[in-house]
Amino acid sequence: MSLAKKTENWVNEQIITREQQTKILAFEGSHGNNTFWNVAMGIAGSLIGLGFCLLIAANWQTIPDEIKLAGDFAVLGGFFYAAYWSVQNQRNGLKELFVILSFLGIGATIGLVGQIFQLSGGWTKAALFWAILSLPFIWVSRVMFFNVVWVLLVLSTCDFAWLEKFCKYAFEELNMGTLLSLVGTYAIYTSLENARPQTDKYTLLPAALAKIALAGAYAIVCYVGMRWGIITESAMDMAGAYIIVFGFFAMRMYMAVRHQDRGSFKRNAIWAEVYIFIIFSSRLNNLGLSGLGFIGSGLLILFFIWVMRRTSRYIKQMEIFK
Amino acid sequence: MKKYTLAVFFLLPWLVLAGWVVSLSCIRANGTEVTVAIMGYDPRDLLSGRYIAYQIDWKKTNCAQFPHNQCPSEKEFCTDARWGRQCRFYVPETFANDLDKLFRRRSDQLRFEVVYSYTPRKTPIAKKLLINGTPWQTYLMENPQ
Repeated sequence: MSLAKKTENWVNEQIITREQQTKILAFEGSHGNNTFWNVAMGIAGSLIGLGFCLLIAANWQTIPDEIKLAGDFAVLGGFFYAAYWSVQNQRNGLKELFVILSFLGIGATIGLVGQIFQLSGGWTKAALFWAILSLPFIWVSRVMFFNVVWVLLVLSTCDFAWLEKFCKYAFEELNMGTLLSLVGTYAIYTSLENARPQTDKYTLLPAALAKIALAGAYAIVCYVGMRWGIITESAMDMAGAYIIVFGFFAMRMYMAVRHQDRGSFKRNAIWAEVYIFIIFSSRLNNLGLSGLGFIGSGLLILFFIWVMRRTSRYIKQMEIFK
Repeated sequence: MKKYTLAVFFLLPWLVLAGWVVSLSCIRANGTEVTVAIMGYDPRDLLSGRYIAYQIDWKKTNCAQFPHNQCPSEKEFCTDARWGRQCRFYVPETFANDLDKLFRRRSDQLRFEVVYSYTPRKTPIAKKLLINGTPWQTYLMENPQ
């Protein structure tokens, strides 16, 4: 739809006035449409970049190691300078782009040096080295995703034997170990969330760690819910799993009300409903394989979709959220 | 002040990486060349991507090359290597299959060695992979697979 038609609709719907429409059209008319040129330049730039990559890749074996290293360090230096320039000139979009490129460039450089000098070091040391060197760039980044990636990179260097011991302690059977691991993970999340007002203005790293801890807590709940709530035959384990899963969702919903977070409340309510649906479906057994079973399953899915939509609408109107 | 702090903050990783490369180059250039015999760590898993995983065969290595005519301990070579302490030698992707075939099918007929730059108490750096005493590139050129 053209801008003239769009703005005409907006005027008819009383979103903007006739005067504003005239001003918008005059402004857009005087600035011209750069889409074509932007697309053309984008395609040309991509082709040039791709050409360089192919040229280097095709001649990689014949390029002397010194040239490879010099080129790599020159590009890396360029990324670092561009990131510095973007921070200085408050170009946030560019800053994030060059921060990411610097982060990836450091990893690529470590890999290249490892290849050229035939280093046999395992992932742990390389990842830790990468994480330490890229810390200044991640520190200035305001993109949560890259902060999470960086924290995961650091976590990947942890001793997996320790993780194995933890998993054995927490997940071998449903007991206090399982509950403690869930409470511990959630406590880490809560403490980091409480620290966020003070830390967020400097760095997003604690927030990223909080997100990972929360994801870990949900993963534990999911594991408990599936292993002991669905698969197991023991009624005691099943009851314990239901208490943990529904207790966790209820606690999250209570916290959402306290923090006036309607989105979080809705998500957890829907998750609880999805879990109830999974419990029902798992109890169908062979019934689900018959003709009537298929019809029943379809109706059950439709019913749960209807329930979830009703819940969603109801939460939107709830008065506990101001 | 903030401007310079940020510049130093961003320059530091570059300097550390450059220093690392310089130190590795010095170790490689100043060490004594030693040749050690190698064997595949596991014939089915010899080539993983673009590197060859191997173990040093100390029984077939000439220990007279080392100080006091004594072969160093196994831990001194490939100290950081995982998965059974195998060492790695990176090879270009296009030659990986040919080398794999050589290792798998003819490892009993051919002699595989790696030339290291060796300085006592420093991590040895692999420089060359030899097949029957010649660099692998020359060997593959003379004996196309």
